[in-house]
Amino acid sequence: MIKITRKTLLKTLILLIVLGILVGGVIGIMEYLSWKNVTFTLSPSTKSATVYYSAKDPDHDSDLVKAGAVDTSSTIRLKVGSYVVVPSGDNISDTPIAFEVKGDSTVTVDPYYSEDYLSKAFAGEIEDIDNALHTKYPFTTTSYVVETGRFYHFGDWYATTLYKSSPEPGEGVDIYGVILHKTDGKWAVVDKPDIVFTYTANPSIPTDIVDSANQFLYNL
Amino acid sequence: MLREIIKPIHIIIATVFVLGLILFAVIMKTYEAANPVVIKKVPSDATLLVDGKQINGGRTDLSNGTYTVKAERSGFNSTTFTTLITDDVKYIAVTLTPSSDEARKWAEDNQNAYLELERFVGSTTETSGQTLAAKNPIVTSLPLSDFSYSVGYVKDPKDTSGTSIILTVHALDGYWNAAIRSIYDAGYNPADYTITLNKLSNPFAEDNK
Repeated sequence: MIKITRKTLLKTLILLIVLGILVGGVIGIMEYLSWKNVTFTLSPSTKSATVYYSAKDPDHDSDLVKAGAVDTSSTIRLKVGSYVVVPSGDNISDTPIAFEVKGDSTVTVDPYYSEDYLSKAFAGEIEDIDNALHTKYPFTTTSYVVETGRFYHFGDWYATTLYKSSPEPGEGVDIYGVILHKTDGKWAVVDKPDIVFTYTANPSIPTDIVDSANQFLYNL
Repeated sequence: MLREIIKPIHIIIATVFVLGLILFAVIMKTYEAANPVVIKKVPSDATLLVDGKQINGGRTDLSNGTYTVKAERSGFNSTTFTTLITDDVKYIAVTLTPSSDEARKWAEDNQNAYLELERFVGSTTETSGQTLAAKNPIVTSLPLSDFSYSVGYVKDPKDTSGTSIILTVHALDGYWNAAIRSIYDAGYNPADYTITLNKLSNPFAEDNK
């Protein structure tokens, strides 16, 4: 029979305290292990960036909870999970950029130009774009209407639409989309004008450009 | 006084307990990040590469996403395909067709292995239909049509799993945009699909210039 003496109680209490400290320490270690070092590299045009925990639909801002912020290229600690980073700066897009934290990692924040900036800053490129299109498809010079399109990314992608200006009697008018890309200072048509762009048929075009060109073509 | 209460055996027990807890915590954290995917191959000793990395055994850990799978074995035709790992699809199943006489003999003697794999994947007509619709929800909305266009689909012959489709679009001149718009109106993004525009005379195509 165990005699409950003051000494026994003291021993048990000390043991419980030590165990409590040890368990607490382990929980602390587990918590520490779940946080990772994430280094954010900001582009020169990005003045700051705010990091949010990502909800299922990151377009619903009300679901986003702030996880941190950086105003220079720096490292913050984040838990393993899904996040979005919203950049801020002059002439840049504030579209959230999604990223995953699975371990220590680096996130490059290099947003594209904003729509407003793209529409104003690159208007002077239209003439070169039209020339590139007409050079490749000379018949479009006289018999097609080429609409004013939109610039994307850093003003190096352009999408617009074109259609026959004078269809034959009884002939329907199909509107084609066309995508151009500027490399080494020259604009060139990518793939060919088409009724719709797809990821598989147009693998050399970034998927967001494919979507944007289709949205422009179909007024979505 | 503490020295009298705490003996070396107590310290040893406590240390072992703590180390055990730490080890448990690290293993749990490691396992949490894992996403087990079952690997089934016929023949079972075929070499399997997922995104260029060789995978051995009947199980591996892959995050949900799209992977390029290549399987090869001497005497068999190698195969390369893309597979999608999702919360509902956590396996990679590969069958190789024999090319050498020895491999043909092996395949004849091991029909059960092929059948076993088929049962596992569930590639009967009904199940493949369910799998097709699960992978391509648009098929439940097809065909889309009116007097001027129709949008349907065929299975992509390049996909040996039989679960990929090609959208086939027929339209009168002047109504091609309407045909594509019907896909958007049905709630799908045409860019996600391989699309054949049957008998569209694209003036910008190389053979039409």
